[in-house]
Amino acid sequence: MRIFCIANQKGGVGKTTTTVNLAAGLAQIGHRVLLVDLDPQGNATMGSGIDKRALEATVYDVLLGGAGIAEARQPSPHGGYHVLGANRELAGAEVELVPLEQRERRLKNALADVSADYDFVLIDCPPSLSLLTLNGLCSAHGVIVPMQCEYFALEGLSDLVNTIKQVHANLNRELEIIGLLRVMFDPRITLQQQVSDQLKAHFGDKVFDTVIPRNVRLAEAPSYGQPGVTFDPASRGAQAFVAFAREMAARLGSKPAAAAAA
Amino acid sequence: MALPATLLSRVEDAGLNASAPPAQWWIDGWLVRVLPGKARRARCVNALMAGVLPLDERLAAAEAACARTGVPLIFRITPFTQPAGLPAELQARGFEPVDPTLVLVAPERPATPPPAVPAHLRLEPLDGQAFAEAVGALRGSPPEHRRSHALRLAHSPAPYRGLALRRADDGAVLACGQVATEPPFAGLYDIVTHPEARNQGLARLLCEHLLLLGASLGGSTAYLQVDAANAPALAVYRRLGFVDGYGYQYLERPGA
Repeated sequence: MRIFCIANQKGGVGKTTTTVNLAAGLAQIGHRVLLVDLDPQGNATMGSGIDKRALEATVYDVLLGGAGIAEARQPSPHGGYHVLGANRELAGAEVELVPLEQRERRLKNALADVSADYDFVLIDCPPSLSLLTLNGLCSAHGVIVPMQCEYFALEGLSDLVNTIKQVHANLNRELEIIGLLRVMFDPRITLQQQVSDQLKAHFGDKVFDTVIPRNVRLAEAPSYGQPGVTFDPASRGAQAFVAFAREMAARLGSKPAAAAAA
Repeated sequence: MALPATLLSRVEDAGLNASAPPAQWWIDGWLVRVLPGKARRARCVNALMAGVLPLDERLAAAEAACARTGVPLIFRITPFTQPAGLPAELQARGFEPVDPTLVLVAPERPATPPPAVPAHLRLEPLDGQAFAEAVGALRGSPPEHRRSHALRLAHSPAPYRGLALRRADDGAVLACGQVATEPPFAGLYDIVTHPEARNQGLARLLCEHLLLLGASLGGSTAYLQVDAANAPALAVYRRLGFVDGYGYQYLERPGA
């Protein structure tokens, strides 16, 4: 089981879109996937087709020890993966976690119980550095950073890179940046092309080959409670995410469980 | 040469989107914004449609919505206000015009290489929270205004990007500003220079970088809103290629 955080320090850069569609893409090519929503906004939960207001148990209960992941998880109706959902209640966990033992490792410990059930766990982390984000980063083998190729993109990464370095040094020696994913890319904008070149010059292999284009179908899909990958499989956005899932799996040398068993 | 009305109408739409507060009311054709704070555009009525109720009933309903968050009832009057006779009717009821503002537009502004930042300065991105703090400090805004600004930025449908020009020595913010992008539009907002750092070309330098940032997100047509009486700012913007779009003002009751 490989565990990844999807994180960026800015809102509105396609973090949740990336989490939901990578989960659906990995599921589509045969992997067993759990999506963990660590953002109290619950957008990844809703975007997976699960009503966040109707959840009996959420990641909040798991963090505070009131439920195990096996009880709290739900299948995404269209996505082909499981979801450990979140809603507003999760905002309270920030305070309630403080007095608990191993407060940064609650999620990691809970994930250990389901390690045989999944090939991939994808964690949608909120942008601010908080105990919730720390729980994500302490659980993970790596971080996937979706980013727009905007002017100042490189400078905008410095806080996140520092956070990852600190967590690596103090809490989780395994943690590394797995890669930067260029999202909402518009090749007609020359400046985006230039920033994309800068990113490759600066981060080299850490920049994923796959580029996710700006695509209206990806933007519409959450309103229908579906990942773009299943909402409109023929769209350019959906196809890019499936290609990204293949690239991820290939980078990690991971084969679908079904194929490995055969 | 006057810009086409269709372009200006779309610029107005982009400005409305970039000013959206986390909560607002739609009352009989009026978009009623009620976020307490400094920015009038997040706590005003935009009269967008003629509506069906008599004016006094609409006023009462809008007044009640404003009262719920403790903001006074004020109207933002633009060339797009409906119906055209509304301002006169409001003035007959005691509302008075304040804050004449100009909307300037730079259509399809070519992206130019960014001007160099002098060695004694540092240009840095700021996230919404940090930006609200930085601009609040420059303006001397109370903490509750800074919080409401940060809240609005976090919920804006048009994503904001903030930049600060800092003094390299001690990191003090000398100027800051942000750009809200909704392709093909990029709006400059909250361009503020420290009183002791004015007339050094900082606003222009900052705006050049903000315009490039907006353009990199697909905002090739830039717009901004500026106090019609702020001659120094108008001069900076005209040098950057902005031309007059349209004007607007607010109508409020005396003492509001």
